[in-house]
Amino acid sequence: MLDQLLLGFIDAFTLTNLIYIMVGITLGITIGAIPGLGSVTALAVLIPISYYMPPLSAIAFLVGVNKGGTSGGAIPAILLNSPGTPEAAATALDGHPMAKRGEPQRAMKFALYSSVTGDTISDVLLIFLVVPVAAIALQFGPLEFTTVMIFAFSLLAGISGGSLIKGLIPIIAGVFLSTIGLDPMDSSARMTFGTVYLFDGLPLIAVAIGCLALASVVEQIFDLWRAGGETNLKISVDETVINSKLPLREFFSYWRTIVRSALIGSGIGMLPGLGVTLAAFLSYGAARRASKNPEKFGTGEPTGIVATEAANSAVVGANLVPTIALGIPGNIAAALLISAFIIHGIVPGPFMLTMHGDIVYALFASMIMANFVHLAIGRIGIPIWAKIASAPRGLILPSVVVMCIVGVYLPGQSMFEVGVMLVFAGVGLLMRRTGFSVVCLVIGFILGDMFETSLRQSLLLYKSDYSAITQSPIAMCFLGLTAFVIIRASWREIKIVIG
Amino acid sequence: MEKKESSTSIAGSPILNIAVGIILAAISFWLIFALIPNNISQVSNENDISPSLFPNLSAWFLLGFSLILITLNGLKLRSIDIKNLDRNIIPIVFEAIICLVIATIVYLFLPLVGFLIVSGGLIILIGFATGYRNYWMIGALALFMPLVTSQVVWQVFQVNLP
Repeated sequence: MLDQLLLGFIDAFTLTNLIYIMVGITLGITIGAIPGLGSVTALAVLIPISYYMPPLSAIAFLVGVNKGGTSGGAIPAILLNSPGTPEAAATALDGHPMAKRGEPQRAMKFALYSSVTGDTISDVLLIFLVVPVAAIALQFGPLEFTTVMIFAFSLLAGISGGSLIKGLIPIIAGVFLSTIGLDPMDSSARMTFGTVYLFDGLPLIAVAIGCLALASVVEQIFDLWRAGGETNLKISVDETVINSKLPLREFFSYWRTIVRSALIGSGIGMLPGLGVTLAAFLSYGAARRASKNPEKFGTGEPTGIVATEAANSAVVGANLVPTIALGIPGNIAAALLISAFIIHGIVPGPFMLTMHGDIVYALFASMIMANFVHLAIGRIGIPIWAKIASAPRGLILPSVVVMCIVGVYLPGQSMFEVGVMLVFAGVGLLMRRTGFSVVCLVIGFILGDMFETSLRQSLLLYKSDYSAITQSPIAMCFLGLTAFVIIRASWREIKIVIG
Repeated sequence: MEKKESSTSIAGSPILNIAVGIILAAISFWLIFALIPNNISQVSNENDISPSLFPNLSAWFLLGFSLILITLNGLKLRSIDIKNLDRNIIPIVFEAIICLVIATIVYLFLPLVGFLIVSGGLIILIGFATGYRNYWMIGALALFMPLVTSQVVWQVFQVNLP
């Protein structure tokens, strides 16, 4: 494995690749720093641009966007108490108080260094774990894959949003939408209405950009319209900077918190559906419980920033473990990365390492390199990101809308895809307003094809012999876990109804 | 922050969930009894499963989950929720109609009038809608962003925007 990793470094360490990583991280931090956008929006809008890049550079670019976007959310959280991403809400708890007492740059350095360190730890875990997990996944047949996906869906539904049913409905809707197009087995038309544009199904990027990026922007536009405009986003911190220095020695004195948080983030990142926000808050809670001075949390305690940022960045690398080994995304960012893999002819799953091993190891090398690039760009750009974070949304939001239209139009130069994006922007807005999980819809849509294929193969292989399920310990295990998740989530809902 | 909180509380409202459940159930019925039978071949060969099986399965599950959603929220319903019916649903319908109108205009006018004018118009509209009152900045953005974007897209990707 080490020799493959070295070869990966040789493939990845090219000027072109480094430039794409730098651009990806810069764009990711910039978009992540804008309140209300974040790494998912950045990925959705930038995936079409990656079509024009070679596969390795494209994936490295998007991984850079994801890393930058995740850490970029800390900047407005610290300076404005307005998190750029949901997970950065935990960072704001101690980051903003620290900034208010005259240490904004120190707070942002804590966030950046923690982010990079947590990310590096999870990337190393990814490199060591993906091979054994993929080896286990090679034992999976269609039945096992079907049960794994059912478990992933139930976990996603049980944890996204406030209600199991309101998570399951979008997943099933997404799965249904994925059946539009030519049947994968016999190529008969399914709900194509005679139009050639639907032969390949609904365009994935248009659906993703519409539901995730454009719907979020439109929601913010309506919220601002109702509120009568944006409140003043001037940086509300003491202009007198007391301390901006953060020696590395001081930072690494928090090594226990860094390692604990990185492990929490990595563990959560490997399980589908749990998400970055959970990692950030769990880690914050764990750091507070472990601290000798828990009362200092919330007053600008550095441990609070270190815990949240190390955890939420650790999710980025770890969620590629199920993505690469099983083809099942750990979260929506990984789901978008899967779509990027597919677009570039790389099918995620247990065979990815054998069929595209050179690209996978080059990707691992790119991820490690990206962390150093992230550190450099993040450190140099702190004053710039601060300015961007406080830019008026009246200028940012229309720009994002225009970029969404351009991004969707670029690959196929087709107005049909623009139309699909606009429709799904409306669907995404309605879903957000009614409390349904858009993330579940998109993941259901992305995984629908794979789910149908494995289910059909299972039905064909075993005909009506349902005892085949009991003969597969892996399938029984995942069905048992599914039952546990569903019963637990259902019981919570029933208690709410009764009580 | 308050708007976000009120939006969240509306999203959790039983009456709204029931309304959504009814709509989803109606859509599921339409899928199962109209769309799928008329738009998907029902015939399968001996070595495969009917192409309509999986869409039907998904649609039936959607119907089932919609009915569960209606039932669970029916049990939580209080009379105050019914009185607040208009406050819960009308804002959402209003937003949906506005989105539909603007999306239709953008979709129809983009190939007719072109990217420069449509995106410039969108920038101005959104800038005003968000309450931003620096008209010079909005005007400058509406003028230069479409121009710069279309030039960059042409130079880098060799693609002509509409």
